Amino acid sequence: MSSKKILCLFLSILMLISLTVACGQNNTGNTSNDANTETTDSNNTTNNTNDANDSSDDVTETKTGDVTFTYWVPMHSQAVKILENYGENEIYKKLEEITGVKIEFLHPASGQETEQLNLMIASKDLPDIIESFSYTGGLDKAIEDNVIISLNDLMEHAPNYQKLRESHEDIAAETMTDNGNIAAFYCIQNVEEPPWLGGMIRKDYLDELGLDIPKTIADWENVLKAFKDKGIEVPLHYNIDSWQFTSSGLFVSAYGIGPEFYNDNGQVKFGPIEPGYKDFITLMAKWYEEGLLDQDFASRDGNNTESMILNGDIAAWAGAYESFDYYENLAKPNNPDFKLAPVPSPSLNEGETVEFRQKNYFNKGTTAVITTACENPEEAVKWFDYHYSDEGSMLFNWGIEGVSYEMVDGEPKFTDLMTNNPDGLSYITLAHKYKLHMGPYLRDYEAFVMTDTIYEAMDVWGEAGSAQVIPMITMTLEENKEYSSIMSDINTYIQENRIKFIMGIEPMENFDKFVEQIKSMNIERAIAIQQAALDRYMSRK
Amino acid sequence: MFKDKGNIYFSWFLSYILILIIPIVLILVSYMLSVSVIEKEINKTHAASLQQLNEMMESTFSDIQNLAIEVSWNDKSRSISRYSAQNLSSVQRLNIANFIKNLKTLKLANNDIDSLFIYYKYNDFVLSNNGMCHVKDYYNIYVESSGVVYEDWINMLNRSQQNKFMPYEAINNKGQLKQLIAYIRSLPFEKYTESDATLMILLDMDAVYSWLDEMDWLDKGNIYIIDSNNSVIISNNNASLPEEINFDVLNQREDSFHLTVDGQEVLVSHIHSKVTDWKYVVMMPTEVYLEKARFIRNVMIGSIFCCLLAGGILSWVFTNRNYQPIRQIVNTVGTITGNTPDNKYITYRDIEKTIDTMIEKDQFLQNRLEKQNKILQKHFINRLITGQISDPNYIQSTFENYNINLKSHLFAVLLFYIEDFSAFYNKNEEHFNADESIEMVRFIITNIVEELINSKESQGLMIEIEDMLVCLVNIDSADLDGDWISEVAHTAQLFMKDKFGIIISVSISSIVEDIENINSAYQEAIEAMEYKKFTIGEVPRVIKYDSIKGDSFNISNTARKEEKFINCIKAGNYEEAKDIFNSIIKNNFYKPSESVKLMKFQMYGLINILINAIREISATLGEKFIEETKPFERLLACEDVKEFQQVANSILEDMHSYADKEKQLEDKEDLKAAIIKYIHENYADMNLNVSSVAQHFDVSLPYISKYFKKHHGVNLLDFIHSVRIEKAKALMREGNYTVEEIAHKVGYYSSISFIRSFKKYEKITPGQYMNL
Repeated sequence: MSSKKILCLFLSILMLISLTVACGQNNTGNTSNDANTETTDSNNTTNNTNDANDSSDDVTETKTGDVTFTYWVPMHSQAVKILENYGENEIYKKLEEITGVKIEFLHPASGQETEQLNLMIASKDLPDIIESFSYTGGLDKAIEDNVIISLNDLMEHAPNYQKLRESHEDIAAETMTDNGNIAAFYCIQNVEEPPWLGGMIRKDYLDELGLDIPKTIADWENVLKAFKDKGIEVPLHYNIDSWQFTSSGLFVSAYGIGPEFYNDNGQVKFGPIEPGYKDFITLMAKWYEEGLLDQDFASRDGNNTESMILNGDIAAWAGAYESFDYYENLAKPNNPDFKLAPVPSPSLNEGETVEFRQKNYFNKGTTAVITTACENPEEAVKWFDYHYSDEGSMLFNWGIEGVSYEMVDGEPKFTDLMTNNPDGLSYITLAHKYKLHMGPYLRDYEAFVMTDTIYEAMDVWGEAGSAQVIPMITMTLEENKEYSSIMSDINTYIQENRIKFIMGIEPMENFDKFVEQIKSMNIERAIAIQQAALDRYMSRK
Repeated sequence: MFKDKGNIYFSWFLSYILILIIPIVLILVSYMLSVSVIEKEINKTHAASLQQLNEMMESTFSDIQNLAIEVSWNDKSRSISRYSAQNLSSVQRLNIANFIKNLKTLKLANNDIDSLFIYYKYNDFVLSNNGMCHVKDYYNIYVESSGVVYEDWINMLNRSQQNKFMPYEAINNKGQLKQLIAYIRSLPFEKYTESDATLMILLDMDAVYSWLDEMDWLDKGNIYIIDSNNSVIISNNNASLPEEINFDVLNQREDSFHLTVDGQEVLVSHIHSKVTDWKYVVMMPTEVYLEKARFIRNVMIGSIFCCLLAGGILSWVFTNRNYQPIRQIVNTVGTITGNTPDNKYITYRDIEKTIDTMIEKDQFLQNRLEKQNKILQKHFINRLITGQISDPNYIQSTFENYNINLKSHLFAVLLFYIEDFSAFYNKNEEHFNADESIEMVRFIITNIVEELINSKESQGLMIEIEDMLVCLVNIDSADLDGDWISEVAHTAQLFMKDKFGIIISVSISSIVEDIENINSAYQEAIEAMEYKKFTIGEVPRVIKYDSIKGDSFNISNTARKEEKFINCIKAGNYEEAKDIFNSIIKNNFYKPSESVKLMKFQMYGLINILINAIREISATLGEKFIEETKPFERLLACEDVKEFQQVANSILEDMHSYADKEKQLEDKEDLKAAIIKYIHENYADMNLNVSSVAQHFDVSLPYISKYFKKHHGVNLLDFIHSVRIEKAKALMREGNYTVEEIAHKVGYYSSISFIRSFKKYEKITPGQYMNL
């Protein structure tokens, strides 16, 4: 064998070796087994097909190309019970099928929503879409600062949304900024939703005691006294520091004023410095002393409140309409007589109307913005627009036909999956998986497990007027700054001292001093700011 | 094929292959090193992660501890602890409400805090960041679902606690039942033995869990934080702690070690936290990182395989390459030597054998060449000595060719004739037959003579010419005196006789000059040797030519005597005739003083006389005389004078007896028997011959010969010979005697005569007969 032949043989063997080594390289790069796909940055979208942009009434989105958006939204507290990620929501899945647009949901850790939002904005590490967006200085500033984009020029791609906005002057106003920017997609209800918050009382107790639903303050006093005599530990649980008070204005509205800033025929007023407020506080103090008002209203643990309601230690409180079923379902097994009833906002005297209650704007919130990081805003707008179409609206409100709802006599009706869930989950929890409770879509407040009680509550609570409720005004950055600094001191002062009056620590004689003090803290300026904002709002219409 | 010991192919192949041990060993070593490196790295990673985890936890903990201090020093809390739950005043309630606000703020200040609460031992309430609760209510809402019994929970809270972190299961602020880490501390700080409240800060471990989730290598392994009671505070995948790992075990082992858990081998690394007295443990199945090593292992196996494959192929190739030529060589040599190894694969011994064979052959050839050379050389000398070559230049150059350096231009020739070697033959009968014996004798003589001559610093070259050894002597010119030559001859002669019992005669030529005269020297030596034929008396064994040169032509006149002789014969006076004849011989041949040639003439003369005599009286002797006695043949057969004398004498006797016996033709028949008997009785007598038989029976020789022949049909002489030979044959068949002994025993004078007669009658020599 010549040496050349040997060399050839040897080299070919060498090459074989290197081949096997190269193939084996595949083993080293062990791919990560992580299932965590959420924490990625915004992806790029590929080119999309040209969409026919009908101007007909019912515009439905057709499938586009392979588009992905990152969507930052805090998870609702009820949602965590059933979801890890909004991507698991059946309707979002369905939406992807329909529109072809993929959504990557990013959720901040609970309790850290604001921080994360600020962090994202500060580091310019923005996702394509942010829901529950807030910005110091307002949306106008956010546009100015190149954080989000103005949608005015893209409105041609959102015919449904446009249509909706134009359908009611308040809707238009509520969805526009002071500078005339359409900056976000909101949760819009084109029918004003009746109040979902109001007084709730143990009906069975009333029946037991032979009492009617209280309508006036005096009625209330009777009822509460009767409850007290019955032996109920806390006849009325009502925390003046809570949002329930601020929102419903229950009891205080009887005195013709609102709990804080309110609109008195175009003029902004501040409740605590109005005379009626003193009367209100006096009432509260009286009830506190008589043991009618929860002695621990300021300090009671919320969960404790719940359990006390359930075991009947609390007889009346202010709550939301979903609580009716919630409590009744929990309590009925042990206490079949347990029955709740809605209570209207009491007036001072019989026959009077109150003009303050929990009011729902057409814009229910959930500000969803498109950030400057989005590379395909047109597609995003189109995608959002679908939420306001009839189909999209149906999807978000009711879910998937056959799964979460069925058409009964031409009307959609939730299935047993939602109302009588085999896993025992309540509707309010399921609402986050099979429909969207709150979000940027055309919302139908009736797409809810509406029991008769709820309808009743709506009626009852809707009896009160809402003229005094200040509409969705916005302040400028400077106004906000000033306003915030004034009000923070005032609010602190009020919170610290109001309670003393109620609890009898401070005698009512000193209430005037209290009011004087407030006035001396530049409340007038704050009122003026609110006034200016209200005026601007009025001009938006 | 590999079983052959010393198989070259196999041993070469094996040596090449064994070299592969080096890379294979290196590969194995690298693999093991790699594995250990991987393990080390993994240990490092584990340790680093554990350290990081530890630091995360500890930084959180130190924050919490600070928080606790804040709470402890909050005077609202201190006053609240003295409140009585049943009888709270408004102011007190306000304080409580405000304190709750503080707690809310504290919770917001720290992201890790899920919730915090203070349990007041002597008051029936719990204050948390959510608000105020009766103790039982708090338990019902937040703790009951964890399965902890109310009494146990209360007992835990009632115990004095110093700065402790522990696992705690409860409803978190999202309403879920979760495993949390709780910090528990009795308040107030400075009076912990007499504490009136217990602070618990519940920590949300989601941040830690998500950090753990981010470490993908933990997918296959487990990380645990355990306390001294072996309760798992945190673990990824909610894994439970295997039995084999517990706090005490970890205390005893070093930072990282191997363990078998559920039949699987795992690598355990752990660190200890002083702050919390917890242990942070990572448990990873060794299989996982070995999987990473699997690639290396595969490469290793692949490499070893390729090594072996490539190495094997190359070894085979090279072995073949190296082996084939050797095989070729061995085969080629084998065909020459006729010794091809028959093994399929040759061994070293085969090669040795081949080489040995080659060397043998070579040497054999060398020997042959040498021998041939010697023979050619001798042949040349033969031709030189016998005068067949004469051209001096040719002779000179041939001498050079044979590497014979002539010392001078002086030469002499020595002749050696073996007279009697019977003694030697008898001695060495077992080893050599007669022919071989003669060879041996010649060999001995050659060696001795050449050695003797060489010792005198001359050169002697011995060759054989017919039955004589001829030595050409090239005399060292320094020594012109040739006496040493006869010295050598004498020495040799004596030596042969004494040592070996071999009788030799030596004749020496005179010293001649020039190469051309070598032949004449040879002739001189022959003449000198012939000389002994022509003397009756004692002949010396060593005869110098110079001494017999004799240039006298002194021939004694014998005419008168010759006349007298004839007359006696005619007269029938055989006795006197014999005397006359013998005296002639004696006078002419007794003294060796004349040249050989002359003596030859004289001899012929004598023969002539005798022949004349026979012719003269053949008529009277009868026809049978010449037939039966064959005188002429006998005369012609004589080789030397002595024999001639003998034969002549017997012829004369024959004549006598025939003459007598003629008269006594009517002899008694039993004379023949008597003769036969007499011969049979006296064959051994050397003196027995026809004439002694005639004498014995007192008849004339011719008569007895005629008579015997007539009556027995066989010549008496022949008969005597035949009897002797028969006896000799009988003796030879006995096998105990040498030829010479037998010769003497059966009455021959000399072994030569015996051999000659034997050959004559039997056609073969006694030696050959004995070999039959």
